[in-house]
This record gives sequence, C-alpha cells and structure tokens, in this order.
Amino acid sequence: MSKRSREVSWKAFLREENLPHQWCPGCGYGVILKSMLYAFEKGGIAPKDVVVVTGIGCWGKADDYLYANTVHVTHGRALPVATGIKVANPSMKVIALMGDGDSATIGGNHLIHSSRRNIDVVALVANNLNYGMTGGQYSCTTPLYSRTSTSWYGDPEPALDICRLSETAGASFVARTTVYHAAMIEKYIGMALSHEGFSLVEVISPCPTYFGRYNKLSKAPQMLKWLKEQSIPIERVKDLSEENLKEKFVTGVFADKKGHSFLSRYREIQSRARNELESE
Amino acid sequence: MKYEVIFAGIGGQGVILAGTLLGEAAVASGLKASQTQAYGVSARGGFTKTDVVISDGEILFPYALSPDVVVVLAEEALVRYLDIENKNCKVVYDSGLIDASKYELDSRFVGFPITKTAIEMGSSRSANVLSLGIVASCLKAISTEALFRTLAEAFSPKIRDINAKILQKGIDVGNEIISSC
Amino acid sequence: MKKKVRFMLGNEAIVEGALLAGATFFAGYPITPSSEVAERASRKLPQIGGCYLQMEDEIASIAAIIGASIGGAKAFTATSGPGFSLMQENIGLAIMAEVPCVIVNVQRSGPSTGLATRPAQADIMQARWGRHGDHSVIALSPATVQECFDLMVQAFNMAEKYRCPVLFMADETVGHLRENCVLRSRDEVEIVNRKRPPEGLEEYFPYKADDDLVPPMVTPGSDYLTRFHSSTHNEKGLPTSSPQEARKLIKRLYDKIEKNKDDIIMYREFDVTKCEYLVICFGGAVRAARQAAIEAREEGLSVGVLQLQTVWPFPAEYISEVSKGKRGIIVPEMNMGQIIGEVRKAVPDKIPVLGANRYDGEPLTPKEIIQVLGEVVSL
Repeated sequence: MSKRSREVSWKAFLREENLPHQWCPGCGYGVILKSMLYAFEKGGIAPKDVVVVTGIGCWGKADDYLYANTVHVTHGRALPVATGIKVANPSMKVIALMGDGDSATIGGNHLIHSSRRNIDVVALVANNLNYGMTGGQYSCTTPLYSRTSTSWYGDPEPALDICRLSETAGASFVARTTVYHAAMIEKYIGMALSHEGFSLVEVISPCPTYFGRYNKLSKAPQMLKWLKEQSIPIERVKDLSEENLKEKFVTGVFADKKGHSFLSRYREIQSRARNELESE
Repeated sequence: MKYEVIFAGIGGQGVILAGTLLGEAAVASGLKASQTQAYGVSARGGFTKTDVVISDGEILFPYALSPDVVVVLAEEALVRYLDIENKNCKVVYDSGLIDASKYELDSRFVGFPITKTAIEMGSSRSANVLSLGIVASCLKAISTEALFRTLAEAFSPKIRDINAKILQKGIDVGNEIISSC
Repeated sequence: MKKKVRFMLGNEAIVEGALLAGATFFAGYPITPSSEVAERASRKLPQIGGCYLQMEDEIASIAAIIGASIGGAKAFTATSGPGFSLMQENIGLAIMAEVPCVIVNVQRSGPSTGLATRPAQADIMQARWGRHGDHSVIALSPATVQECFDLMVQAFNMAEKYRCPVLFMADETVGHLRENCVLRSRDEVEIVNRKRPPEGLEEYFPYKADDDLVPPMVTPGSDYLTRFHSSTHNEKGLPTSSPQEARKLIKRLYDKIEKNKDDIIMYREFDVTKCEYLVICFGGAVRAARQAAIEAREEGLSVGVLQLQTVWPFPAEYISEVSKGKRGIIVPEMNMGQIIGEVRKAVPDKIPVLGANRYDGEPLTPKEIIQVLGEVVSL
C-alpha cells in the first residue's frame, strides 16, 4: 500500500464541520490524530481505503473528526469488531483507535488474542494513563501509587506494559513512543500500516486535566517534559538496572517480524478445505 | 405404523451412534424418524440414552414414552427401565456386563452378552452395532439393505467388514428373541 | 448429487439454513448444547471461501460478527444461556448501529451454568429485554429440524431487510434432535439482501431511512463512506444529545420492527379457529402440545395448537382476535411461565389462561399438557 503513488491529502480525512475538536488544552490526542492522517497521506491511503474502528473514551471520539469509513462501538470491543471487518473485507486497511481502557483494561483479553492470532489489524493505542472521559479514574496503565479520582491515596496496582504483553502474545509489529516524540508517532503508524499481521503502536499521551492535575503535572508543558524524562529508548534498556527502569516508558520498536499473519494462514486453511471438498 | 426405541448405557459405549444409525437407516427406508439424546456433561461416563421414534407419518413428540424395544448396556441404565409400562416391550440387556440376578425380571427382559460377543468377533467398540442389529430385526420396518448401507457409510474401511458381520449377528440374535416370544 | 432428505441434527440444519441464506462468516465460542453449530460451520465455511473464527469469548464473538457484517458478509454466531448473557451489550450495539446479523441461542437450563446439557426455554424474555434501553427485537423459534433450516433462512432475510440482529431461539430439544430434513436449494427460497443506496448521490447519509424506516447500507470500499455509531446519532451518524434527534432515532428503530409486524410475524395453526381450547406455544414445547391435542381429541375435547414461529415481536393483536370465544387457553413452556404473561395481556379477561411448565431440565410431555387441559376444562 505504501508504494502507491496516489495523491492523497491528509486534509481529505478531516471532518471540518466538527472542528475544533473537544479534547482539552494540553491533551495529546490532536497530535496523534494528525500524525495518523500524515501517515495515511504518506502511505497513499484514501478515506475510502480505510476503516477506523473506535471504542469508548476520549480517544474514542476521534471518529467524529474523520471522513473515512468509521465504526464506533462499545467499550473495549474495537478489536474484535475490527477483526470481523478485516476478515470479511480484506482489501480494507483496518485501524482500531483505543485508549488504555479500551485496549488493555476492559478489552485486555481481546488484545491478547488479537496479538496471538496476528490478525491483520492496526491497533493505535493512545495511553493517557487514566480514564479521562469519566473524570480521571485509574486504569490498568496508571503508574503504581499515582493519585487519581478513584485512587486518592495512591493506586495500589502496578501498571500493565501494553507493548510487552502484545509482543509476548504474538503481535508481529509493536512500537511505543510518546506525544513528546511527535515525529515518531507518524513513523510508527506508517510502519504499522504497511505491516502484515497484528501491529500495535502505543503512544503515551499527556492528560494534564486529570492525571496531571492529580499528580503535580497540571501544566501541559510540564507534563510533556515529564514524558520526555520518563522515556528510555529500548536500545538503552540493557544498560539499566531494574530499579532505574521503574516507572519509565520504554520507547522504540519492540517487535518487527515478518511471517504469517492470520489472513495468510486462513487462506491456507481455505485451500485445504477446498481440496478436501474436491477429493470427496 | 409407529415404533419407539431406546438405546441406553453409559457415556462412551456408543449408544447415541446406534440411535443415529437406526434413524438414518429408517429415513433411507423411506420412513420418518426422530432421535433425541440425553447425556451427562462430560464425554465419558454417566447415564446416556437415545430415543428413536420411527413412523410412516409425521412424528410429533420425539421421545419414547412407551418404547417397543429397549437395549441396555449398563446396570445404571437397566434400573431406569425396570418399571416399564408397555406389556409388549422387549428389553434386551447386556448379560455379560449386567448381573441381573438381583432383579425380578419378567419375560419381557432378555439377556444377551452383547459386548462380549462383539469383542469375540473382533471389535471391542461395536456393542452398539450389535445392539442396532437386534433392534432392527425386532422392528421389521427397516430395509436390511438400507441398514447395511448406512453402516458402511458410517465406518472406515478398516472396521467396515467386521462391523457388517457384527450387525448380521445382531439381526440373528434379534430374530431368535422374537421367535422365542 | 446426494439425497435431499437427510436425517439431520437441528444444530446442523441451522448451519445449512444459514449457508443457503448466503452466510459466509461465523464467529463463536463453543458451548453446550450449541457446539455442533460451530463444528459444522468450521467445516463448511472455509470450503466456500468463508470464514470460521473461534473467538476468545462470546463478547468477542458477537463483536466479530457485527464487524464482519459491516465488512459486507452475512454473519452469525451460536451460543447458549451463559454466552447469550455475555452477548447482550453488543446485541444492543447491533440494534443501535443497525447491523444485520443472526444470533442463535440453543437454550439450556439455567440460571448460570445450570444444567448444561438439558433443555429450557427460559431465555425468551431475556431475548426481548436482555439489553438496556428502549428497542424492539425480532426473535424466531424453531420446533422441528426442518424449521431449524427454513427459519434460519428467514432469520437472515429479516436481518438483512430490517438491518437488525435477529435472535434465533432454539432449545436443546430441537438443537439435539435428529429427524428428516429437506435441504432446499437456492431457487426454492427467496433470499433477501441488504438494501444499497442509489448511485450518484451528492451526499450519502448513513442513517437516513427510506419510507420503510430502514436506511440503505454501504460496504466499506464502495462509492460512499460508511459510518456506524453505537451512541445516539443523527442521520449523518454523528453523536447528538438533541432530545428531538434522540426521540426520532429511538422511535424509528422501534417502529421499523413494530410497524412491520405483519411481515415479521409467522405462526402455524393447527385447528385454531374451530377449537374450544387453544394451546399457544413455541419451540420445543410445540411437539408435546400437538401430541397432547391429538390425544385430547381422542377423548372428545376440541383442542387446537397455535405455534409461534415468531415470538418477538409478539402477535398480541392476532392472539387477542383468535382467542375470542375460547373456553380456555393453555401455554406450555419449559420455564416457570414467561410467554404466558404476554398471552394474558392479549387475551380477553374472562377467558382462563393456564400454564403447563417444566423447569427441571426435562422436556415437557403431552401428559403434562393434558393434565392442565383437564384443569381448564373443570374450571
């Protein structure tokens, strides 16, 4: 798809009647959305080539600002819906936009199995470390002991590493960056779009309104700076102790494997089935 | 014309398959048939039974309320049919597996070492086929040709010939039971 | 060409009906007593270039068939009570986003894991009211293996015609019943496909309905951009909190089914008009009821049976009409009495309505229905 030389402007995707968007000042989602549209443009992907599936949460509002094939579904279920769309309509680029709640908390089981299945869907996870839409409660990616509206004395649960989980379960492309490292967002989404198999891009995004306000990071620049400070490139991980890696966001490409995606495997199954039918 | 049949035993004895084959043979004979099944939650063990109703007209209630023939392959199954109402019913039990001496059985109950005979004829898993033969010959409604064809389609070539012999044995046993009545 | 009359399992006939209707996608999670549907679908679908997906749970299964239908396929899933409970939220999604699909529930005894291998009809009110929010829903119920086949075709046709999920409420007695079944061919039945918008529109409104209250549907990759939304939305498919838009949408989703009741409601009548006592039932209970009616007639009683093939929307007006002048109504169900409430609402007050109920995992027998009939006669 990336080799296509079709002229597409990222602006073709913008539903201007619904702009400006409703995300808070200092929120990173506008940056992520624009990076995705740039990646579409670069990949020669037109609005009719792509199906954007969204779940529930601040990031789940993204489809309101888009001209594309869009499907807005229930909380946590974007991945299995995307799976059905892709299998029924393999010529589409199917991309699921999910927050930390959608992708890994309520929808965690689907993340594991979409990764294992290696279904040819892009998961673009915008992780703002809490449930922003409902007023800043803790999610499964909220850092340990952080204050949120439901963990006033600190979140007693350690955070889940979405990328490591997805990689371990079998996803063939996994990458993480932050909104601070904006150029990398577009790059990783581009890589994911041209990848065969399940590809997950996680972007850590600032939520100064809730997570920031509860954790002494209420100013947007302050929170971006914090993202920068907390980030460690994956290449450097081997030099650091476990203690030094605590609470850090490891960034970079976790997995980029060629191999069998679900669709390529299923085509093989279909041909086996047809052969058996013919030999009957 | 309407017949009701029950095959009963414990999970793993193949009683449900016996019922399926009987129903298939009935349909292949141009009749209507229904088969229901009752079994436990696991694939092995536990009381299992299948009801087959065969008729030349529409079958409404598909369970055997007044069976004409019952084949039981386990004591657990036999005890459920001790009080059967139908005076003309034949209950054939596997006398090799069930010690029937402790029950007071009337003349409707006939013992035959079903599993043992199948094993001696070369298949440890064909007590259900022998049972099928017994029932088919008791009913007299199923075409023998359809019965053997159904059997041939259901099993792999490896076991097909042995099963055909066991089926024939079952038919012979069934005929003896009828003639002794 | 193989012989057309088969000795077939209800659960297998369900798959054959789906295939005839044009289904190419199944997603599910195996559960007793519905697993044979998944097994047969997994054998058949890859042979025709379709897909069987075994999902991680029933939530994912219904989500995947909704996705596949949006993708352009006719899709179905099959489950039993516990899985049906898990599917409820996304059945609501299919209703709200107007996605055609068929959900098979081979009912078993509950609540919770209950009696996994034993029959019940106790999910029939859940079928109507299992989701939150106002809506109507279509539910069909087969009483024979032949109906497993034939009504599945109807289920898909209605799903496509009205852009909605259709609930196929089988039960263990029918799903695990083998009997004669004629596999009809493509030219013997009418196959309905979802309506497409006309070409060349300046702007396509994904939720703008035609006079039949159903909006045309678009597959991704065609001339128009698709838009599906789970939240209250306007004709453009954009979320709205306008009370006017909300009322308009909820009313249309309800009316597109309720105002087409004449088309959706199917039933079978056995001596309904001339009988003195009427048995009203659906699904597995029908077999016992019809047998009971025959036996009662031999005893000199005039008994008819009304089989509801469509349970939802409920044929209240028809039942109200047909029950006039009857001396009594019996409603046999394999539950503690669910549909009887709807029957009572429909039947004139002075006519006695009695239930014949079984909720121990055993199928209803003709004897039990005759017993209740006796009670009604002696009233």
